[in-house]
Amino acid sequence: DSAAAAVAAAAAKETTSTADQPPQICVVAQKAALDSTNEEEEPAQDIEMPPPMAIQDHSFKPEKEVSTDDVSAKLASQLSLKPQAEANSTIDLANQIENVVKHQTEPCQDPSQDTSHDPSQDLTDNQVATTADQEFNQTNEHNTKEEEEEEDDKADSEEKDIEAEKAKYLKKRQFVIQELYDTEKDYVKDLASIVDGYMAYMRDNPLPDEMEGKDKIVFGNIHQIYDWHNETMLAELEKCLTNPNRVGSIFVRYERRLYMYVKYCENKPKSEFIVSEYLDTYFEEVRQKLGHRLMLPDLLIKPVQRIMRYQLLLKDILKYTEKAEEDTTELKKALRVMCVVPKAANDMMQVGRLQGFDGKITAQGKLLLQDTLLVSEVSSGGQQKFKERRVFLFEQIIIFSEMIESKKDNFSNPTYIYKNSLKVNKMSLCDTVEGEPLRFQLTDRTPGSDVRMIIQANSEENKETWVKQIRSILDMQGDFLRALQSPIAYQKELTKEL
Amino acid sequence: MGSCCCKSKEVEEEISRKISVVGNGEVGKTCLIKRYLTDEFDEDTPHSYIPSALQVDEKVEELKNGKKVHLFIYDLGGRDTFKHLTRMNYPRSDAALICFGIDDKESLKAVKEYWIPEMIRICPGIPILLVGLKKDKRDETRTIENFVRESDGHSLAKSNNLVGYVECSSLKGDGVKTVFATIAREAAKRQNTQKAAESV
Repeated sequence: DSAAAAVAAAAAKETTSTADQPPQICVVAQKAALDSTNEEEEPAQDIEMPPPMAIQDHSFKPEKEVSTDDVSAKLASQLSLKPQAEANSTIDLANQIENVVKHQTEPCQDPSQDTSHDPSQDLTDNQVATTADQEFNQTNEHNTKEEEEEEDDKADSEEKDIEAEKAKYLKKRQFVIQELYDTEKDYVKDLASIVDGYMAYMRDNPLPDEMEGKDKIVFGNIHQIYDWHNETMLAELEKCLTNPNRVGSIFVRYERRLYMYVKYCENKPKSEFIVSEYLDTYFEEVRQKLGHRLMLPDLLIKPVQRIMRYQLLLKDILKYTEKAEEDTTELKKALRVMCVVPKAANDMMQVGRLQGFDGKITAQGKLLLQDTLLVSEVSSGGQQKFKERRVFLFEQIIIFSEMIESKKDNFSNPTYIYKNSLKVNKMSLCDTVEGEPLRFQLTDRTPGSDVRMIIQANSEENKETWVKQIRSILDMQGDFLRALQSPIAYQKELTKEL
Repeated sequence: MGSCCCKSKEVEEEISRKISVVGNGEVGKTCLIKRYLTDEFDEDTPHSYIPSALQVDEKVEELKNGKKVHLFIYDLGGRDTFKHLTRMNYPRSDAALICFGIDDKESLKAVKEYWIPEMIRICPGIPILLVGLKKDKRDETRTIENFVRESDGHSLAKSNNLVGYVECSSLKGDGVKTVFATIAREAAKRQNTQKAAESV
């Protein structure tokens, strides 16, 4: 026991001594995350990956054998210098911290307990994680209903029929897996038309002057997407044709890799803008030279369609696997991944329209909530009028922006102009404003600042959502700090609870 | 200028048009398209395994005047969860089918409040046909109160200046050909939708 305490203390010391070397920590954290997915190491990509925080989905992993969380990865990275036996106890500590954080932030997200899900709950697109969960849960509910009907039928049938039934469902599942593979093959072909078609042509032939430099935005990271599907995913799915039980684990294993789609979708509006400018001129000329039937936009939309489609195919595979009464653990995880990834892409598209924010948006952690709310800024200079603001709550920052709907914008999506922000670690919350049940306040605790934001929600429910989410990230920060400052006390408190 | 953007000069007699099919989830968009493409509706195997949404299908529709229209049919999902991703599929549509289930009043409400304004906003000026699906369900029963009335469909189409309203049954097949013949004809009338929209 005392040995464990000593390790924890040493870890804390290590933490302070390495705190001023963040690049090192980053490298280790990245590697740890890769290891945990069992994904083979691949040559370094020139395309930047999203930060680790944005791509983790803790609520899903039922066990924390190897943690990929930023917090624990940082702690664990200190331990790579230590002997193996000692390392374990501190990893345990990190895992416990993570579990506490998880419990506080995500009270009931066990995907296997879909009965706890309330279908009457309102679906809004501002609840990032929840909506993906609901998508997932709805599928499960649907299946359960069908299963019950199925069971009624079974009651008066004989055992032979049960066997036949099972074979029937497995056959149906085989159709879907074949479809998954066939469509993957088509998809890779389409991506090749871009990479070996357009991109190769534009590399080997001089670009028109005004296009210079814009080609990178047109294609985003599609080359990376193509390489992975062509070299890895296609072969993995081919193996599933003879070994259908592998399907689920593939998506779980490559979860991290699939986040390249979030980046692709974030870039897509910018790409569309440039493509539309040259669609009838330059790109039409290239299309004819390549002899393509499809136009460039028809090809560039394929990744967006594909990332949404996996989820639909997995739902069907899960459905038939359940009916055939085979193990669905991995498939449920996979479905969850394939709901969360497109949802993240979907939400980041909105963030991609935010202009004027100086910091790096991808370094602010996960996007937790976004909505249009009324906001009034209060400072020593007095209180400003309430204005409509698009508010984005990330794990590390809350951003207030002005929505500009441009009629000229062909792509019909609003642009958001950055107005103000508060850092989560320098912010405090007051959840009541006298006489105003829909309002709450955020105060900037940065030394020298006296800024307060009064925020008015659309409904009491809506306010509740925001207040709850903000409180949970503030609590999480508090916990993290306490754990770092006095890990022994923190760990004792934890074991007391257990 | 003036030439259709989707085709090359060598195939003058056939034109290409992109048709987006939208509407709430589970109203039967995919079945409608499948019925049109294969002229079959199979509740069980093997087609029911094909998942809904996000598929691009093609078929050449021949108009009464002999003109051939190569339709690219975009089956766009109904679920709200990936709204912004789905939206990226709309631009450059030449025409749209907005669908609801006549046994599902909620889906008609969504047409009125969401799908029509959304389509008009993103693809201004394109011909839109309102489609009432699962017509067979109304034919089967006498308790009409639970269903959307045909006149409601017509008035909604009229008040929004849509091309029209057609009811059909993907199960029995009636009305399906009318839906695609109508939208192909209307799409073909317009020379180059997206150029007109882009030059605004």
